[in-house]
Amino acid sequence: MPQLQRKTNEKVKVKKEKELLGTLLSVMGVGLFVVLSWAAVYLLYLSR
Amino acid sequence: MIDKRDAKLSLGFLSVSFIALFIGAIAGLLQTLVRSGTIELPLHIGYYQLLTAHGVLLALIFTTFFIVGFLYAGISKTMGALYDVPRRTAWLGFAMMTFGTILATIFILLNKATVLYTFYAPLQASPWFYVALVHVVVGSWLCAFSMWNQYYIWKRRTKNKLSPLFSYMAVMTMALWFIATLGVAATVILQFIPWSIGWVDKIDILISRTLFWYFGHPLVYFWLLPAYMCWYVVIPKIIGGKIFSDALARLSFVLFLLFSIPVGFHHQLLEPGISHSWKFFQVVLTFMVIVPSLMTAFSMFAVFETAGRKKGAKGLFGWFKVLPWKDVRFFAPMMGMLIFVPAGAGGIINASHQLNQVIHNTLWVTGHFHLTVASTVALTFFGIAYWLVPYLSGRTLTPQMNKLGIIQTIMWTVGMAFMSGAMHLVGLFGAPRRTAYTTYSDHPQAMDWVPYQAAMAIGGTILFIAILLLMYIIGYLAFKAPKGEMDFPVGEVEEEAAATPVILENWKLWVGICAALILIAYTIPFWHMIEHGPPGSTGYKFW
Repeated sequence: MPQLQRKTNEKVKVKKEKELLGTLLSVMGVGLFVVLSWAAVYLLYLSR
Repeated sequence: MIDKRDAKLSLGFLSVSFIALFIGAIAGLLQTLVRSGTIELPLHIGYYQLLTAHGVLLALIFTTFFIVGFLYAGISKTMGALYDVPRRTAWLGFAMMTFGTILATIFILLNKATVLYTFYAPLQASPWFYVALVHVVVGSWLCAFSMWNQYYIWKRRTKNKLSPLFSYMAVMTMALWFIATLGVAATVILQFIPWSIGWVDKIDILISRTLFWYFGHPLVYFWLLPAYMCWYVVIPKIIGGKIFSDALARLSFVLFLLFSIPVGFHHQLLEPGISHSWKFFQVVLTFMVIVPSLMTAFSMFAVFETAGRKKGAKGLFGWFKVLPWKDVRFFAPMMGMLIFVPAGAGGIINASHQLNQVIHNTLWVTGHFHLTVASTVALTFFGIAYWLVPYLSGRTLTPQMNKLGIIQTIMWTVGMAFMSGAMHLVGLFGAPRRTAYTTYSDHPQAMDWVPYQAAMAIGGTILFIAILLLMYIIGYLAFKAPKGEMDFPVGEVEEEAAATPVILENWKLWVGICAALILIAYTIPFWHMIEHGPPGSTGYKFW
């Protein structure tokens, strides 16, 4: 019985991670924007 | 509805904040019109006088009064009516802060305190201006003590129960404010007041700027944390979702306390007299703030996605479409959140030593803080005011006012896109900040800046119209809207979320680590400043 319960909990966890794929990609998008902005101004710094 | 006495207290703070917002906005409009060469100021009013009024009234007064008013309302909502001693202390704090605000405004209007928002030495104001600022800060400390007292009594009476998330965040916000303002209090009381009275001839510029920026950067987080409180606690309820994780929210606030204070040197990267190694150390700590910032971004996206999926949203980003875009209580803070993406990216650029040399003292920096405090924070505060003002006044947010609020938010966003966008671009071309209109004898490079300055004036004008609209909506919601019961939205935590570890409420631990980080980051460089102190400067009054 305890084994069965553990399996059920694991299932719920896996399902939840799948649900937040949009969240993960959104945060990655924010991170990418930060990196690209930083790189753009860094290139400006190098060019001067 | 919260206790009527607490509603009155909160409304008192909000009233002063909106009056300050209106006066500061007039100064802002005039600044953009002068800077673009559109008008010349009449009656011997100075550009730098306006700049001081705009900065002090908006960055210090509007924000602080709004924040304290919002926190009191939320504390009363989540921990119950204020106890007698905290409420009396709060009114005393309000009286001191309001007195200080009136005194400071009078001296700015008399042109006796034209020292810009940063009141950097060697610019010198009347001693009364500095005395006024002391009143604002000490009054806010009384408010901090009062909130901590309320929290302490509540914890004792509930036998150390986990505090409500909103109240925990309020306590943390005021802890950050208190620790940060110790720096500005020290420079004002020990340096500026004796120097402006004439008790001493000279002031140590480096120490005064270091103490200012010890305060100046966490000040940004003092503005941001209440906006985050709205995002973490209020927004989930408004969109019909749940708080992603109570523990994550509290941990992010702990990290903001730890990493937003010992980082002032990133505002002084081009300041002589501080070694590169200490600047580097504080830049590393500055970059640590990215962690709780991305935690907040993750948490908010997760709230949106989870709520959207429950409503049946399909596809990778289908949940984005089902958000309540027509509800101004969501729309205004959401625009603030979206604007925080470029605002945060700009902040990381500013704090990077080499990149700082590209943008230092240019209009880029002005554009940057108009995205952070004047957009992310201001839009979130407007979104809060649209439901908090009628809630506290026993009135309702009507569909018509909701629609006007959405128009106001769009106008603010468009106006800021023009103004801040132009500031960012022309800053990259080298246009300086804190400068009245000049063509530098028609120098070709300065002439290239003129179209951007015109765009700033267009943006400034749109923003001012948005402020007029905001004033109308707030006035209507406070005095004219139909009587009724509004909801103070406080979200509940997701059932699946992990339990909150007790250690997150161990104040001795977090304040202790915070103090240790401050001592590590500042003790040796500060000692160097004293040991190799420059000769100091007499005061200057240019305008």
